[in-house]
Amino acid sequence: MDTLTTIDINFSAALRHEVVADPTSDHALLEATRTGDEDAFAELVGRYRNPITNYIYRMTSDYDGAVDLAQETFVRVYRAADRYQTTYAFSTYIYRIATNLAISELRKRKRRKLVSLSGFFQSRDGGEPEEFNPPDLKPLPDTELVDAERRNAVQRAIITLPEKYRAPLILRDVEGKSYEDISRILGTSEGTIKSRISRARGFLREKMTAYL
Amino acid sequence: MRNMNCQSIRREIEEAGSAGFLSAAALSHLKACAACQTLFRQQTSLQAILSGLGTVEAPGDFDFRLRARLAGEKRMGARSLPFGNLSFGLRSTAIAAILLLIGSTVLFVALKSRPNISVAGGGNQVPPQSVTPESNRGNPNPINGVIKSGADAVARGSTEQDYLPAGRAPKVPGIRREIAGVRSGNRFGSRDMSQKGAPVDRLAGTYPTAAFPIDASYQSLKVSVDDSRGASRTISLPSVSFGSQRTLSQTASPLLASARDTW
Repeated sequence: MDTLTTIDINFSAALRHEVVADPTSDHALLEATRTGDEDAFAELVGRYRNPITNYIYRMTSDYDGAVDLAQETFVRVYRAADRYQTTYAFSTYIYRIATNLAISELRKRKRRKLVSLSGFFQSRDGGEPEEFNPPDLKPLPDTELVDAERRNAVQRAIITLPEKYRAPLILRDVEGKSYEDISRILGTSEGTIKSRISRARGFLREKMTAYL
Repeated sequence: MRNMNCQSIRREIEEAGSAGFLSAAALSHLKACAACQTLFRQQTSLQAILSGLGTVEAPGDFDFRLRARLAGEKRMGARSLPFGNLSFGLRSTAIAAILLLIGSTVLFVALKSRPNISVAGGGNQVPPQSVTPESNRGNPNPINGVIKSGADAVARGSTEQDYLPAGRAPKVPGIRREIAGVRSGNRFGSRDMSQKGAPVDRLAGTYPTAAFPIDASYQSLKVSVDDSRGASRTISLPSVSFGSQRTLSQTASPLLASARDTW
């Protein structure tokens, strides 16, 4: 009952209250990290390392680069633990950092025209590099083969999307985030996010007509 | 009406998510509209592919590498600037402030070490060995002896004549200031001569114009070359004239040379 009253009055205060209430929440773990609890930070890393690596990989299509950027994301979280405010969910916070890092990496790449070693294999249309898939020697059933080809095709199609369409589409359709979370992560209104996702899907549908 | 309906249905399809739950009205519309049906089928299929992409996992040594990186950052942080924990903006401001401080210090030291330049009104830079204009009256080269500010002289009611040897022109327009640094120990004294004309060297009664004689003989240059085997040779080079010298030598009297043609 007290909690409900607090939520009505002050959202961030309610979240702070929640930190105390649930010691396993992200906020509580970050609070513990702030006081020097390395295990709490390790727990946070364990929770988010795969989603963040996956998200950055889908954005950049470069596995090694994605791992590096995911590490950089956690380093920044650790460094800024003292200044972290529990206004929004921790996942929003960490995805925002990851998004900024990924976008800045994409811009750097554009400037330098650099291609990482693992993403050295260019796409067929000469665009962005596609993911490196070493050939699997064991015979595949037809359905698996088709699925693998479809996944590669969609990854190639995603990487051709402009940044402003790519991030919301991945967050929505790959990571399964809500429109509200995406708008917080990207700092844009929900209406804009919906419009961009719709347009991104339109692009993908055009590019993947053969697979749909 | 049909278009309006299609638009709203498409919006609903877009927002339906990967599960593809639609309202009863939308489902009944899909049965009648082939275009919307195609869109719904493609949308569902695309979302199924996207959600089936799977998660790329972090490598097994992710935690180890992260710990090593953080430990490295801590070590670097301990050796780095004391404000390393500040945010980027504060850190930038602190660095900018330090650079500004260093820059202004360097500038201040550089200005201090330069010879002092006193301008009119800067009477506080008169060194103790200053002499009065009266004591300098016989000194033909006041730079070596007198260190005096012009403002001080004005305040004492003295004129330019006090600073000049007898027979010197009182003032030459255009020369605003002459500064002479006189080293005294490690300090520099200064002299403000803004109120004083520069001395003009002139032979009395000879050259009323701006012309002055060039004491250069009009001779050719001869060079003897000996090749150490007894053979020698003399080469005579014609004299080099810059025009004015020739003019002076060919003119009967320098008084006839116009100021425009001579130096």
